[in-house]
Amino acid sequence: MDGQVTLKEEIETLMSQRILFLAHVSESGNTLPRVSYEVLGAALKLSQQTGARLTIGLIGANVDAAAETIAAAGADRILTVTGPNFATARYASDAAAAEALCRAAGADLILAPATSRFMRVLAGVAHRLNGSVDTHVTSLEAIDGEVRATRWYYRQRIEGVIRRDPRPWIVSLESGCSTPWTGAPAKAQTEEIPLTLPEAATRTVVTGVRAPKSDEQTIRPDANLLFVAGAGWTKKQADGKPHVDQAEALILDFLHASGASLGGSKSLVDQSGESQSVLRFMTHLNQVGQTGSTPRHPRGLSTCCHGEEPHVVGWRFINERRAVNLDPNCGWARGKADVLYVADAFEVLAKLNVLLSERNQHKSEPAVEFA
Amino acid sequence: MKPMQHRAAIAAAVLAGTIQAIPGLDRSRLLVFGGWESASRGAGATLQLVGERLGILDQFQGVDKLEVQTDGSLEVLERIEGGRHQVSVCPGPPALFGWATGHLPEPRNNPQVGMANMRTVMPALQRAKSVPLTAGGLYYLSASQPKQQRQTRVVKDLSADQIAHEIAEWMGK
Repeated sequence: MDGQVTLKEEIETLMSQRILFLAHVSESGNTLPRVSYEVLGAALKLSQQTGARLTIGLIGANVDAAAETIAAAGADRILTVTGPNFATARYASDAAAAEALCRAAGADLILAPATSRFMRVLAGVAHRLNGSVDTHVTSLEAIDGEVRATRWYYRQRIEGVIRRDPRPWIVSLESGCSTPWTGAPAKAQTEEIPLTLPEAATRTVVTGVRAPKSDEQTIRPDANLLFVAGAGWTKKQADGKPHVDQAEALILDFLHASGASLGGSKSLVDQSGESQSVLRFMTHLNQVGQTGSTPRHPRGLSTCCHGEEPHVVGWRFINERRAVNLDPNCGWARGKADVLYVADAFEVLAKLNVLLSERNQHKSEPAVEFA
Repeated sequence: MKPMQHRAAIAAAVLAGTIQAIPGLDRSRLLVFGGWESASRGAGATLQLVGERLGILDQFQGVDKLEVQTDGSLEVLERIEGGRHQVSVCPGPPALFGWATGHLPEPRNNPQVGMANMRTVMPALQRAKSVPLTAGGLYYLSASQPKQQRQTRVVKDLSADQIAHEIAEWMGK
């Protein structure tokens, strides 16, 4: 009987909860970043599971167009902080805007996309709200009246499930983990939360974005395929000599023809500091694994790369994995890849580039347009 | 199931308190540098909390490059999506920087430099404060290692041409 009362109380408590879906406009300014729609989908699902009321909070110079894209989601309220001061990703202004929206919403649980813009402010906002924060969460669900979050620890080696008592609880959700909310654009009824920034919050000025030259753009988070190059590309080949120039041309041609995103092993990106031959377009930003990134592409193709555990870490969220290298006993053969081709990656990639080029000609356009 | 306090918050409180206790520190001239994300959680939370506790509003995370301009201002490059960097100009201290990998290559292994650094690092570690981890409402409900083991098909007897065709077909699915 006591258990039933407790459960009833828990349900009543949950019914009175508020969930805030917090988002900022995309760089184009007329929509939200793609991951935001996934987080909105997760927020709606959780609000349905718990009976909590959903509020949307938006930040940007002008959020009208972005608000219309999610107006039909069924939120109780759409709160906004807008103005020129909130056009760019700056800690002081973004933290103030997020804090104002959280306070206005009075939310217990705040869900936000794990964009670079939000990742640099959410912990600070939690501190201001005397709440708590968890980042890089991959799923949320309500079980027996409590909200549980799943995330990875120790570079994707351990998956943990947690819950927290303190509220408000800010949670940033990773991309590729939830079904995005979709709906037709509609007119949005928004409530502007007035916010005047102190002078100290506008000292820093965002002057722009520095991107690689268009023909060196190798990181494409939205690509269908992650292509990982290992250090083998720069080592001596069958004729006893390295062929780095040929490797560069093959890899760039492949990226061009396939539209894949490029990843590299730590040993490869570190070679520039060890006076060894390097692939000139490979930087630390391309690095995947223990001290690099853990991308979330649907497919991955590894070449000339023999690492096992470091790459398993980097490839944890790659669904379909294939590898090409000359060692049939390498780490990839030990249950890490779906298919391991024992072959010379130089030869395979040259043939593959021809096939992709022919395919693109039939489509009359390359996979990726370069300037 | 044991409740645990948010460790980033505890670490940040200790770090901020230690910085504040530095004798003669002019906080208006303070530049705080630290790692952006740890290898254990990669949460990117601790430095933000340190900055909040020190009242630093100019914070930068995922920093790969910092250059002092001729007028004394700081040009900061922060990582954003797509392998790009956001460029910001901060007029000067106080500011906080969560450092990523940087733009310089990893230095060559040099045991002599390492030993020289250890002479100051080890005594500092020995003086580190012990901090009690009090219960704070965080519960770890489960922790598990991924069990995924793939049935790898090892292909040894195909030509490069055949492999290319197979990969192209797979990519096109």
